[in-house]
Amino acid sequence: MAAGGGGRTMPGMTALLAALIDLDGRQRYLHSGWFLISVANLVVVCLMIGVFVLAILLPFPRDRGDE
Amino acid sequence: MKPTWTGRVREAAVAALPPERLLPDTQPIYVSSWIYVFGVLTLASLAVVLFSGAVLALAGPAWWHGSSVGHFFNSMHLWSTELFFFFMVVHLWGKFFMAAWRGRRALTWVTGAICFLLSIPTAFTGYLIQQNLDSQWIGVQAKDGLNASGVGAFFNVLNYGQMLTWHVVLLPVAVVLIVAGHVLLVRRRGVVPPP
Amino acid sequence: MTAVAYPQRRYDLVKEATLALAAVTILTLALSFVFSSPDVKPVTVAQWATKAPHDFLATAVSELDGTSGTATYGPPYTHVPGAGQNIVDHISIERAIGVQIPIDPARAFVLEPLSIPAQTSPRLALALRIYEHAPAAERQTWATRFARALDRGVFGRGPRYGPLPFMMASLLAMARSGALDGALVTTNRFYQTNFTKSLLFLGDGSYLEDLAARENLLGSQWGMMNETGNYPGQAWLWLYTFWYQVPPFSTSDDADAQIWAIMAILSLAFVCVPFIPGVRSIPLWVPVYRAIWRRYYRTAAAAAGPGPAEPGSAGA
Repeated sequence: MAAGGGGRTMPGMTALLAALIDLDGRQRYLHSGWFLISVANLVVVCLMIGVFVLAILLPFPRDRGDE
Repeated sequence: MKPTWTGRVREAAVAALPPERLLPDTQPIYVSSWIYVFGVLTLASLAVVLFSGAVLALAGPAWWHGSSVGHFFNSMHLWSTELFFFFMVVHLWGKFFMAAWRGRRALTWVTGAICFLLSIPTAFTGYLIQQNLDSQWIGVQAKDGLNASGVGAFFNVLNYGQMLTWHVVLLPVAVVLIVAGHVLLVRRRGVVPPP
Repeated sequence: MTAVAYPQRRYDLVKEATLALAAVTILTLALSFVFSSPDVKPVTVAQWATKAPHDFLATAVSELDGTSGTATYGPPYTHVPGAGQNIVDHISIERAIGVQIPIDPARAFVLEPLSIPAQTSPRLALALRIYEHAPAAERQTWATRFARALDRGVFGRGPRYGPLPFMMASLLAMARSGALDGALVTTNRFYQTNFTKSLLFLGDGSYLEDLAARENLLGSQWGMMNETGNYPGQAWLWLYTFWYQVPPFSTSDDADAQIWAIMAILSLAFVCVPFIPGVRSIPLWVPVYRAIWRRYYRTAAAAAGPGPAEPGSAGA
């Protein structure tokens, strides 16, 4: 996808701190009728739901003092 | 001796939150689910947001565009904010389904909801002061909604200086104060028991 | 539900907080290392004038003939009778509050900036004098003709356009040089922090919007939720942006006012959940709590009653 303004700012000395996975590439969206969501946001929402479900279902460690 | 204001405040504070309630080392046995950790995870995320934001503030709002170290701290600020909302929403879902407002805990829910609602403009003003295309577009778009509600006449999202001070000073202070109130209410009332 | 003391277990609050902080810090560092953060360069008026001169000129002349977005906006920027969104019927908070950030589009975006190079260009100074001393109707005629010529892809020249051709050419040159960017921020004070004029001018054109559309940031693209590139955006704004996608709001001129009114009510309801009958009972009807407290229901309730009374129940 074309960049905005004049492109991305990536100053020097980026070797250590540059992204390992570049999320500035071609945008990925899911589109169905009037519904449109970015893959990134969909991943976040699915993770939230998944984490919520796991948090409830996963057994919590028993303390030695517990019955 | 005639009671002093200081003495009265101290006695009221200690009565409301005695040390063993403020910093307990026991909890009810029904607190045994992973859903309970999302409150403290939200707090921890807020701490990282504030720290990374403070580092960005050290060198001013333009620093991170020309410094890879600055860009890294900007990344930390972005991702800790994403984590903050992530954990806060999961915490919110959990507290809703526990009906955690029961037992005189309505104010705990109210302060928590206000935290969420205050966090939104806090994040929003953060996007506005990034000094990039995102900032420009978000400002140009958001002004319409804010103008339509009358707020835009006084809260001008195109005024960079105003948005900077709201984001760095006013809104974080408000969020921290409400969060502190929320946490102290949890300590005061305790964790809601099962119905 | 009254506060009842329950049997207690060992709990280390400080350790929990420390572990949570460590976990979130590590997670944040990892995400920052792996994904970094977006930084798409902002648009300048210079870039706009260079890459989309037709759009720039069309926008500039619309500021003069009063047809631009800012010129027709109404409060809080301009005095336009009847302008401003209605929440319902003719009730408009926007109109009630009125113009608080006054902008004269023709002066702000064209005439005042051109007055700077006019100080060293007698020809431009003369053109501006002719324009400003002409009757309003004649100024309007020049601007309308110039705009129509632009629509046909022609840069209007000749006396039927008055001084506009030279003014517009000068403004375009000023913009391309970068000087207009500075002029739009300038006030009679030294320090500047307000970009209202620059952003309103950019917003009146199509160039910024076209760039935003490519990044899926438009309102019709659920843009409020989105970030540039493939970064996660603001998923928590889903309900705010949802309304803009569905009728009647998707085609309403008052969509902003109506949706913000709806969201204000829903936000208040969210805060007041404990007091709303029905809503506060949802957790009972959808018994997720049974899964959360299954261990307690299975063992503690059967095995123990209330333990020794302690001041409140401490907990996570």
